[in-house]
Amino acid sequence: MSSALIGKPDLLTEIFRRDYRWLAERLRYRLGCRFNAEDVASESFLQLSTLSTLEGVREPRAMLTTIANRVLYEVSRRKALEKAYLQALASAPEHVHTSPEEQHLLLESLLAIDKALDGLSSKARQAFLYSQLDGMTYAQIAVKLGVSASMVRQYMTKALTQCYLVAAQS
Amino acid sequence: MSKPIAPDTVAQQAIEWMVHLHSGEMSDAQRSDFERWRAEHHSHELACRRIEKALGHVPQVAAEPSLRKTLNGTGGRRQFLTNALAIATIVSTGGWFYNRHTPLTGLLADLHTATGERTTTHLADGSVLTLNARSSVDVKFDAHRRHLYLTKGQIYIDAQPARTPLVITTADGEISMHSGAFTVSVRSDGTRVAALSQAAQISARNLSTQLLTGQGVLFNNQGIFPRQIAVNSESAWVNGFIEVNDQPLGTLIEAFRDYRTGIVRVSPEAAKLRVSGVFPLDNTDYALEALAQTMPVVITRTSGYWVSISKS
Repeated sequence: MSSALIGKPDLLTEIFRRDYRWLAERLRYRLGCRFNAEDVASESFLQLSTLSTLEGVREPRAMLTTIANRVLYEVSRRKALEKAYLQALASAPEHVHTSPEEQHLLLESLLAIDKALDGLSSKARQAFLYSQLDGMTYAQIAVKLGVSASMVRQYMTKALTQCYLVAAQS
Repeated sequence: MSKPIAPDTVAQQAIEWMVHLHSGEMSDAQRSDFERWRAEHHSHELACRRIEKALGHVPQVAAEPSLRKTLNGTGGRRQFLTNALAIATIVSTGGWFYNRHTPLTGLLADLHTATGERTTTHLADGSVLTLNARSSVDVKFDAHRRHLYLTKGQIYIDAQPARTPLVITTADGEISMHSGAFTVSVRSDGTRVAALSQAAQISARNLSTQLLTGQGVLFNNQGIFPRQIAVNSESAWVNGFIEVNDQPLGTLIEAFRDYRTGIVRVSPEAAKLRVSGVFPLDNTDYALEALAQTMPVVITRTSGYWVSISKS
């Protein structure tokens, strides 16, 4: 278990006792599946327990809802990427022979990129991928996206800033 | 959630240079300017490397149309949160959270088990394979090879002799055997193997070693390390029990976690207590009860999903 759970047990236990059922019920209502609701609720509590600012949380239920929503969002992105990845494998025979470990690492890389691009507009994401995957110049990307080259530059600045921040965290 | 709010000045300069570098419009003179700036101070080099590191993670497979489309998708969190239907579509993701660090590994495997589940499979060559709870194995057997990829969890294999060796691959290396019973488990700190009735060959990185009957080993990217095992208790889980002999309580509780949903919290003092005994895996509530009666611990249940164990 995470050691972060241990420092503030009383507060956590109190929040858990009061709010866990509430969160699980709410999720169950939204997800329509008891099993998943418990998973998402458990994960949300684990994330809550690692917050360094737990003592300052005034409204645990609001905080839990925010965390649970993020957990749900991350799951949905994972699922979408995983599905797209399997489609890519099916349509590109040269990728099929990678080992399960390599495939796993590739998926993790894709998730990392997706996380880095989180919050960027679709055009910014497209610009980033045209540049990184296709080696297109900004002038070419500008034509492709129907925007100015200086706009492409702005997109790239945003994307690389996010990349920097994500890399600085890990 | 806790993203740094903004990069510092050096980082901003590095980002500007990198944006320029990828523009396709950089002159040779500008390129030399960049190289000079980069070499000027180690903080410049570090900032550039950070960006390069993140960029190095974009795999070429992302260029496939299905992936590019998904990655391009706005799918922003805000939009997601206002879209109730999107939330409803993730119903079938049960089990994602069981293994927090490698939640995707089960996906591409042929055999897998959920929390609290064990399965035994008879392979094409007559070998017997048992998966412990929360485990995944990819089986590749044909006329020329007998290959198992253990991507997560723990297996027990009783290999039948054949012309080709049976090879088990994990993220840490390879175990090759002709016949005999073995347990293999994958955890965050490496792969553990116990040779229960025959010898096997272990290869990790560029190291290789012979594992003799009755010996155990742990290998990871640091090397191959001998590990003490008790042959009789190594595979007790196949029959639904865990046998520990003077081991930390924390280790025992870790094994229970694969058999329980929810959270089990162990205080550091309690985790260090030594424990011996045989405990049922399929009834961990009973096992926890037994611990409470025989050890100096207090078990508090806030609900069935939240159990705290502390030293009394």
